[in-house]
Amino acid sequence: MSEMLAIDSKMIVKIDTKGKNKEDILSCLADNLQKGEYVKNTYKGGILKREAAYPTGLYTGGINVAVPHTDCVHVNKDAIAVGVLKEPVVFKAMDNPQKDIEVSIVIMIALKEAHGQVKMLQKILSLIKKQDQLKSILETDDTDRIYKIISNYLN
Amino acid sequence: MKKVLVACGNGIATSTVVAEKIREACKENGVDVSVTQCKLMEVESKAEGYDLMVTTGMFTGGKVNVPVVGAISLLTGFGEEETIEKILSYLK
Repeated sequence: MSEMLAIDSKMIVKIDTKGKNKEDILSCLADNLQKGEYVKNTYKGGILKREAAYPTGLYTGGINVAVPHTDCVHVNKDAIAVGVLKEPVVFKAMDNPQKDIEVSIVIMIALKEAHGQVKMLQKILSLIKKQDQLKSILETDDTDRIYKIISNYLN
Repeated sequence: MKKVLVACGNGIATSTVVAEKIREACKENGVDVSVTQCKLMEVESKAEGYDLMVTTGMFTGGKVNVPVVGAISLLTGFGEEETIEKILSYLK
């Protein structure tokens, strides 16, 4: 049984997306997780490789979300990193790798065990359906406030 | 007992959520089911013997003698009920 996933406020960032593509965004979040020692230095490569082959953009009809993640072997400790994008960035859709989706919030997931964190995953995926919560997250520049919204919802 | 294989990119995250939804829907409908998760790239080698395959990502791979249901709607919510009905229809 995996332990409760504690959300680290340092892993929640607002990203200035000027001139950046999805690989830049993914690298930024992966670097943060590595700095926080949640993941190994192989995690970033795993994330980029996975996203290229099996994209994680999810079309919600409003504020779209991507949920990048990769194999457990690259992870030290369960964690999530959240990137709130100042402008939407193009990702590809999970159910159609040819389709572009403009994503505004990226929730990067690091799982140490294959079937761990079922409850947390369910909550993350239910959060993406809550457009009002996503809107509150997008509208603020205050990462503390973003952290509160996310940790309240996920706990 | 019906057997369902749920596949996603890494076989760990979205397939976990979808597998749980399938288990719950089956329980509510009195369907006896065993749900296994795997990666999309493993599907061809693993699909034999299953009654149904459910995927979140796009399955483009070769020959699989099992019906396939795309279940992205179970993640995004759009058309979720119809997808659950469709999945159950293969298992009842």
